[in-house]
Amino acid sequence: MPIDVIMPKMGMGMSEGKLSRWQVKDGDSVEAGQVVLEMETDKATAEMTADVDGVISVVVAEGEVVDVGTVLGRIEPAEGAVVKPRAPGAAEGPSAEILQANGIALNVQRTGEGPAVVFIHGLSSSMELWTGLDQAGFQGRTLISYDLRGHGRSEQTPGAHTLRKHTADLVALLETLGVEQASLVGHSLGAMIAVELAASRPESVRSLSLLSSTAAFPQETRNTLFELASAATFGGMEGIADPLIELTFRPAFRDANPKVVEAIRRSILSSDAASIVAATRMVAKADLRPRLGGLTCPTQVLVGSEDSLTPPDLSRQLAAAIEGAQLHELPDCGHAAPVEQPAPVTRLLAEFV
Amino acid sequence: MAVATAARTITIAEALNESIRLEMRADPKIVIMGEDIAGGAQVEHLEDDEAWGGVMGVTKGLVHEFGRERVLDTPISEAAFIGAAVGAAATGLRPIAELMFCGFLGSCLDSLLNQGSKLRYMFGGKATVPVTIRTMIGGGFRAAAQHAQTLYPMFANIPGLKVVAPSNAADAKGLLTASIRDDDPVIFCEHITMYTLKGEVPGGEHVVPIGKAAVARPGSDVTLLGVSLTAVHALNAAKTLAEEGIDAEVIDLRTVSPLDEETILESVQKTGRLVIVDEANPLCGLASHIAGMVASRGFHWLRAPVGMVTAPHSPVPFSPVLEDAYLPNPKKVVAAVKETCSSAS
Repeated sequence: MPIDVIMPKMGMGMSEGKLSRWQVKDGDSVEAGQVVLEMETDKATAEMTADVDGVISVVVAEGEVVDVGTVLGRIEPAEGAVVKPRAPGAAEGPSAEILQANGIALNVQRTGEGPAVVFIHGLSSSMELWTGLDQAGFQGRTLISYDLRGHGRSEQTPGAHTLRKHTADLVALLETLGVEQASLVGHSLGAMIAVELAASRPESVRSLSLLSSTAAFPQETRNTLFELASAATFGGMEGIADPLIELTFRPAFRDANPKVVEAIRRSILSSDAASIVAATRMVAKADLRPRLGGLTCPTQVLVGSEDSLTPPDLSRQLAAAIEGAQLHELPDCGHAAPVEQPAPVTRLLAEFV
Repeated sequence: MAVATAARTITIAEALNESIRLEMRADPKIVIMGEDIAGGAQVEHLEDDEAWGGVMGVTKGLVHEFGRERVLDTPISEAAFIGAAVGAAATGLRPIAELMFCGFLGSCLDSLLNQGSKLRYMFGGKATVPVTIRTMIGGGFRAAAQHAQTLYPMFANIPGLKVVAPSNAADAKGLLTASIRDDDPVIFCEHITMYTLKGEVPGGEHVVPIGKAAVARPGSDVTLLGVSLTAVHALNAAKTLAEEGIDAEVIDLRTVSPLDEETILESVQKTGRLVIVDEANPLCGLASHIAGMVASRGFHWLRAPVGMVTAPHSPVPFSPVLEDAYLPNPKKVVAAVKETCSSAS
């Protein structure tokens, strides 16, 4: 069966891309990992590699602008060729790879050289959360992002989600990558995982950046999260995609960025309901307040001034409970700070990590 | 912040789950108990497992929100855990117990017949037993005679018990909420084939009072009366009858005990004809009781003999063909209505 080369989705806001140049010709033999084409968006350029050894046929011509997911070419696999594993329907970001860690397959992306900075996304999101950040701001750092278990292209695991499991995933991932110490950048649920790791293995964490987060949700929000989990338990992701988007993005951002919101809606709808239910319940129950007093690494706390899911008050309490923590409030920003305000988020993180 | 305040279309199973969740949030005295209602049974290596949530998944997720102190997996002993639920209710808690199939009543009858239903009466109102027993009724699931019974007449025959049987998702939520809040023991009957039936359900607090029947469809020619799944059969039959020029009024009984005699009699006074649809066995059953009540209190309004569509007086057959023949269905209801309407008046 031919393997499609498709226009990847390289950021939450990306809906189309330009095929700038083919590096191979129609009918050429290609090897897995070989660069076959160059593409660009208004934000970035990237090379795409073959997923498998085989013979390539060109579908879309150079210079054309096409929607994300469009088939650009097809590779007829060579006899006995092994296809790189890929989650069905998932678009591939540049240079992402599947690594085995803690007994499960995690989708990981790594760029740059230098001390490691690990980006941990939040509930029902994926590593694509971070694609709006400007990588050039992080010169001299190795940037690592990954999909949490049950999210993005990482493995869907049965059973409950616990911060202990997620932290063990991250510890194993760092070991696999040979990283002894890292700066952790966590968004929402990702910040909870970062705090848990910093509290349980302080020697592994150089600094903490906690975005749009809290140590524990107030009871009313917990109730809402349990209701979302229950709705997805009985009715799948369809019933909770809109509520999740409403909780995450403020109305002004939704109105101004319908394409971004639609892409995120599709991403949420394609999520594994059982994984999202389990992770939602974990977030609802999480209470890291007893952990905060023991944190010793440098910490910064970032929050959008119009975040309704984790309002600034929660970040103020979080920063107050962590010794020496800096607090930054971003104006005109809701819960999804890396998506809504990538420039100031990049600047604040780059100065700190 | 609250999400679920608007009405939306959900299944009966989800509506029941929502009722229990909202009531457990509001009242810390509520505990739920039954076989596999949490899942994992507190076995250490299953601690992280996703909750099973009872045999039909109705209580799924509640253990995550309320913990194992309030969501109790019990041993497979109805005598033990229904006894525990009744005892806990008499001593200050407000338990909801899941008696998987109503046929398992046989294993725990004493707790309900001699204890739970009698304490308030015998102690002059000084004791209350605010327990809700959720249990499955009905056939059509190919589950054979022990797991397909419709025993609400047996429960209703015990004074001191209230007996409820909703036919749609909104009533399932509202009646379960009323049952949990009621200070008497309530047997809450859920039809085994109806858990995935969807309907519009109000978000937030929703209470449907116990003991009040609903006029599910107004009509003038004949009264069709059903409860639980037979109310749905009656509504479907009424649609067919309307095409043939017969305007049927449908009463969804909703509560078997206490019986809403006034709503039934008002309808019979208007239509003069009554067909009762009941999945229980006929001898000393719900249909015969209501027929007797109407003969006693409303005989002068009747223009034809009362029609009854019930199961025959036999155990539920396992053979799918025989089970289908055994159960009431809209076609049988239509035939009974035509016979009633052709009677001389």
